[in-house]
Amino acid sequence: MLAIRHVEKSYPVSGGENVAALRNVDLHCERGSFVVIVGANGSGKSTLLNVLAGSEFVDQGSITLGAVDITRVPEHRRAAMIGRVFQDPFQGTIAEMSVRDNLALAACRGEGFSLRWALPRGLREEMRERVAVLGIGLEDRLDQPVSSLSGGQRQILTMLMATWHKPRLLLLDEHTAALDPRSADLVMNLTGRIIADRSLTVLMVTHSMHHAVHFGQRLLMMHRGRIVLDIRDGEKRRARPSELVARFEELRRMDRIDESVAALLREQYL
Amino acid sequence: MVTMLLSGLVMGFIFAPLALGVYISYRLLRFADITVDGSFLLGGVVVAALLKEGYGTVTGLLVAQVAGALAGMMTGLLITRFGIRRILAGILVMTALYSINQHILGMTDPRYFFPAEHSLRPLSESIAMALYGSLDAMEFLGGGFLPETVGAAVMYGGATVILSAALLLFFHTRLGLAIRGAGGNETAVRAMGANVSLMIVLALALSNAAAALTGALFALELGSVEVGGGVGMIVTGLASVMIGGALFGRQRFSLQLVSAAAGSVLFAVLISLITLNDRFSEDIKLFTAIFVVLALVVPRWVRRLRGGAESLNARTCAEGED
Repeated sequence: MLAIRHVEKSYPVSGGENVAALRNVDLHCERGSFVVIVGANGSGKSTLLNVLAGSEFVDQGSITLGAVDITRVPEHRRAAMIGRVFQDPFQGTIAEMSVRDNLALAACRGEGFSLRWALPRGLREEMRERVAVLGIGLEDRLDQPVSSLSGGQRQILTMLMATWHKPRLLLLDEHTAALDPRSADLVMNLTGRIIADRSLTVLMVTHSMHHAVHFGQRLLMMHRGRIVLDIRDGEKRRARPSELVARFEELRRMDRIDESVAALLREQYL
Repeated sequence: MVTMLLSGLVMGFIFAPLALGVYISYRLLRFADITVDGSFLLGGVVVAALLKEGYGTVTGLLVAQVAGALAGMMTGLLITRFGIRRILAGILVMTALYSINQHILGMTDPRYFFPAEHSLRPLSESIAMALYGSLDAMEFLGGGFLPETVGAAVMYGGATVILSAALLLFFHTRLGLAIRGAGGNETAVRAMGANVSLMIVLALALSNAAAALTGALFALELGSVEVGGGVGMIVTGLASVMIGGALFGRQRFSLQLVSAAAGSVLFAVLISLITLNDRFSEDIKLFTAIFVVLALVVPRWVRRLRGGAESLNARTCAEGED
């Protein structure tokens, strides 16, 4: 379904050097798989989602989705196939527009922005039904501007928008990180439900070890632009948050050793 | 006095397309696009050039709008293709248009007078006739004010209603919704699969086509067009948008859009009242600029007096700048 082959991506930093954000990343995901990605800041997990969404292009390697090579497809064209929910609740929705108008835009995804009426009667009814199912009272607020919603409600709305038409791939970029713990759990539970109901193919980046362990069938850990851990199914079910944290610590310790060795070498040879 | 008010009404309707255009750039895209200063005059000189070549008034008005749309697209391309800051892109195209307008006018004579038969007056007169039976009866009824002014008010008023309705319908199509969204949040609209750059170019094309229409109508109504006209049109448009916003609120989108046209009418009537006194006829632009400054500043003072921090939302609404 999704095939990422030998992807490299680096950024220039001050001083004219390049820092690698993705190093030779290889990843294959089957249709309907729910993959969770964890990793420290700067591990490359957000960059991975960005190159998948098309916000940035890879330096090397290729990305295919289904049978389509999307490596060079611009972001707005990929959006026809890829749904995305951002970390910042303000990014995924248009604050001044009503909930209804936001959903109407989502309903255009993949169908194009023609001169057709944006809110035909059938769509209005479909909206009421699909919003009511969520059970957060959004159906009574369809006419209100999105700016009147809480962060959690906004993320749930963005989630609904990203999946209004079934995307081939759904990208969740720490979409609960900016919420308070209760809203985060609410949003995550609804997310899990929507993903299961519609058997979506998902890549979810999360900072929450708890969510990482409890959701999805496959878990990746990224470190310094590489995938350093890839467990699935039974092995993932047995994983505990504490084990993941321990693994993090281990990686960090190794880094520190790397750094001290490098410092030692510098001292001795330069 | 009544005649003065009526001609104020006519001017308000003539400037309504400009107000709607500025609404699109200022409220939807959130920047004051000064290209309209140039495309306003562009509309006037294009209609003059075409009438001089023997084309009809309707053709002239249509081509004027196309020319305005092209000017807007130019600004849009400078912004989206070449990454030039939005305000600067507008200034550049406005400056370029200054020369282009002179070329189109095509003479050393900085002013062109339309021949008498080239205007919308016959149309407004026939509307007045249809309304009142005959001009004489009108004179008899009205006691003092000009029947063709009534006819013109009805004609331009009708045009304003039709234009507002057309824009309203447009902004409820998928494309229109995407343009509204692109002004509000580019990231979200891009994530929905819309080409945001295209939306910005289209919005500016629409906005400047409307400004050119006002410029063309204004030239026809005045009977002449001169190089140097069009200065400060963005401010006139802003004044209309703000007066409309203040009176009709910012709740529903449909109401907001129509309020820009209504604001144009109110503002023109206000101006005509002020210029009743001849002493002030030179000060219209000064008055307009002061009015816009007050419209921007007073709400903030009021909010501060009411206490508490300004909400982020209200502030971006008031400024809408880069």
